[in-house]
Amino acid sequence: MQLEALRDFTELAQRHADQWYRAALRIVLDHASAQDCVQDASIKMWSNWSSFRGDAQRSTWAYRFVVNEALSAKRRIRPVATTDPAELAGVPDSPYFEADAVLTALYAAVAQLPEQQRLVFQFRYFDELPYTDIAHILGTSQGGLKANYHHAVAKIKKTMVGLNLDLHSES
Amino acid sequence: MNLSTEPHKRRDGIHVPDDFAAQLAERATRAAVAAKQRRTRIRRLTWTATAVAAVFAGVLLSVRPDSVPTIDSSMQLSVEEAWTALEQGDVTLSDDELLELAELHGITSL
Repeated sequence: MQLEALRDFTELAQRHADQWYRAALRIVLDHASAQDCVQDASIKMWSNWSSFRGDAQRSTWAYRFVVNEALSAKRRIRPVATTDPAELAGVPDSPYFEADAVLTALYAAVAQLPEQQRLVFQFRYFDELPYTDIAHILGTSQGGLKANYHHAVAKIKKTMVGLNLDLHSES
Repeated sequence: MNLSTEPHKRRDGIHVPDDFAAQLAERATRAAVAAKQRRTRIRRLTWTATAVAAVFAGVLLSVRPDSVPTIDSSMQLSVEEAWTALEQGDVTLSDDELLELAELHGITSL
């Protein structure tokens, strides 16, 4: 039983480690911190493995640990609002991040959003997650998420006017 | 769920190489398993220590009544003997102790 669980956990990590890293990196904006978040979240996942109730898929359940860990880490790293222009730009500091001017501008626009709108936008636009999954990850209603996404897209569009970036908006 | 295993379109500009992802997964898995084993070991040690302490306390409590030092009556000093020792200058007492002893001995004047 324990061996089977360990096999499942290992497989989950192998399949989703890159996505966990990307989600963590977009929140903490730092390569090393993102790796730490993935590791710390994995520790919590494994120690809570048997408490999974099955009300969402395992991968959604696991993703929630990563997001919560990254949000906690961000608050630990930057407990107060930063005035650093680089951080205000909201661009990840990682060897695996590449962005052109438009994507950089998009990150800067996303960085200006309130946390909930920023997260919803990232999960929906970058990860293309369905609202049902985002609702499980953030523990909020789908209606609220849709409203947040709508507001986020409107604000980003306003910021990005003239850059001709197609955000594939939806309501 | 669509936390997919399919190749990402990488709209976010983060391109994670496969070898890095594999290393990350391995490190995370190993850390998680080690942390749980450590917690289990600590819990086991705590239980063992608690059990040992409980047994020791039990043994101590059961043994204690017999091991409490008792006063051998042949070694007890009578008031008369104490007074004699005092009169012979073998012991010195404070005024209060002297008065208490005199009172016990029925002596009204020193």
